[in-house]
Amino acid sequence: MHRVPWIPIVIIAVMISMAVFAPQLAPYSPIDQTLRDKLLPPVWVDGGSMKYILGTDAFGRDILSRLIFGARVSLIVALLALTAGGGVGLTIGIVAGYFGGTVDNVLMRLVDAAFTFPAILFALLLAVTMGQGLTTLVIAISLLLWASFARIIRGEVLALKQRDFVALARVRGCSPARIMLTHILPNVLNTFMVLVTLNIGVVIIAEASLSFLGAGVPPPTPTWGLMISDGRGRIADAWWISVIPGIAITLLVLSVNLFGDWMRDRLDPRLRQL
Amino acid sequence: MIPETLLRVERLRKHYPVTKGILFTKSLGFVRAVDDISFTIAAGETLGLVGESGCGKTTTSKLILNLEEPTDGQVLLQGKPIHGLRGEALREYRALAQAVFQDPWSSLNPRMTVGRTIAESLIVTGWGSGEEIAERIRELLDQVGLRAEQAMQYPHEFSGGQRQRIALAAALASRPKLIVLDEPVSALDVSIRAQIMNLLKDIQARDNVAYLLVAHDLATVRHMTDQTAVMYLGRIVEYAPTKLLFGNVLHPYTKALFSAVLPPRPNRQEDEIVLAGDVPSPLNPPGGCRFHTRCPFAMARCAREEPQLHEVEPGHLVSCFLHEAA
Repeated sequence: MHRVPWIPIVIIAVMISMAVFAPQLAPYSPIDQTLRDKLLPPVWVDGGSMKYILGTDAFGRDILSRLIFGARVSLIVALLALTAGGGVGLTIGIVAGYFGGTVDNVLMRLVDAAFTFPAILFALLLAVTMGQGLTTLVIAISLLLWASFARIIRGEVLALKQRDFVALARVRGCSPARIMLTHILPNVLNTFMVLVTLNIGVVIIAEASLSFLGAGVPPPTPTWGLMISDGRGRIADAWWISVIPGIAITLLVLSVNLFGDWMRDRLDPRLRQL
Repeated sequence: MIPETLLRVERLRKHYPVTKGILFTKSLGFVRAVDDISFTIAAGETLGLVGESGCGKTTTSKLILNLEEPTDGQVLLQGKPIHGLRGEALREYRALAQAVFQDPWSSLNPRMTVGRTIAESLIVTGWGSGEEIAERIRELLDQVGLRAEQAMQYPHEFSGGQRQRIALAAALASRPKLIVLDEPVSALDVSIRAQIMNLLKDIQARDNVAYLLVAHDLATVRHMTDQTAVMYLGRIVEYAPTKLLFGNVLHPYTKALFSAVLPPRPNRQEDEIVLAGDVPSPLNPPGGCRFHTRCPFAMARCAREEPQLHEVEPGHLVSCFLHEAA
């Protein structure tokens, strides 16, 4: 059996507490500029000081504080987008799988259409028409997610509805809605939870990419993607502006994926029964 | 006294269309899973439906449970047609006809407590208060030989035999008049089978519930049933009171089924029929008598004409030209 991935769990826990307690933890404001202190390197580089442990950016903003507040945006977006996109995908997957036939055909062609659509382009379009902001970002990322959720859940439901307990539920007089809620849904929740954890990484990267492209949360609100974007012009002389949030994204996504892998193995009943 | 007829199946047919292609579908014909069968079950009685895999037994039970719509013919429970029911009438019918299926590992929702599973038909119909339902669950668990506190447990904590008891308790909850038993013991260990069969008989004696027992095991059928119908390729070929049938097998197919069972006295020589070949495809059943391609007694006439069920001795129906003269 796989070992509990303690290091990823600790990293995820640290990032979540960073997001929750950002105002208490951050040494400075994430948006106040101190131009006197601009472009200071991190403490372990020549010229760095304990005053700004991770250095400052071109406007003299503390990178550590921006990183801590940036975790907020990333995790809120992840939570909202996974709830919205995952929830829609779960519902569509269950309905398509259970009813089959024409309903299934129509819904699955919608899923195919969603897969062929370039998500980034659509997000940019949304940003232009609806304006930048958290809502736009969440809608754009949800649209990217729901189709893969729907397809996988539908497959699971197709297998599930062949089981005798579904036919017996009909014999006992359950309505289709009741069967989907009490017999199908509880049996796909495992799969759903695994999909959620495996997609946290996707969402965080999508948020970072969209913010980098300017379709995300507008500046000066700190997000990790925006921080990378800010520093790209100075990568030669002030690498820390981009590299530090880059490391943060890598660490979080890697941790979440390792955690998701472990969850998948843990919750797979075929493995559990061994 | 003639017992009242509970279930009447009249000229029931179920044909599944077989098609090719996705957009421009081309019909390849129909699988005649059930093709013109009729039988009755009296209240408190057991009818056994026997035949090899793919002969339409399970389709018949699905039609009777209203899980499938028939192509033609009808099923009447207490004189009322069961198909096309809606709303309250459908709920009333559901309460009267319940089922236990073959695979105890597939027939319980792993995410639902045993108590909820048992009470499901009661909860759906709003049968009573939470208190009354809890009392009924205790009563049902006791009837099937399980402990009341096991209501809080999940299916994975039970063995196959116990799961079949739970499935039976769930079927009994709404006090049905008919329970369809689709191979209820064939997935169980031999040592458990007798227990479950005796439990079924006890319940029948007490509640006067009728069973439709779908099985391929002749010993089970002999032990459990009052009437037996033998099916081959969607048709009933022999239909008689069980005692009569087991004493005087007439149809060659039924004889072949009996020959396939290990005899109780192996030294005694009996005329055995061992069938060659496979069951023909129900998509394209042979003309005339459907059994003529495998029948050792087939005559020229069997390929041309289809024999009808006719009474050979009182209550004993056979569809075979060999027994027509009688």
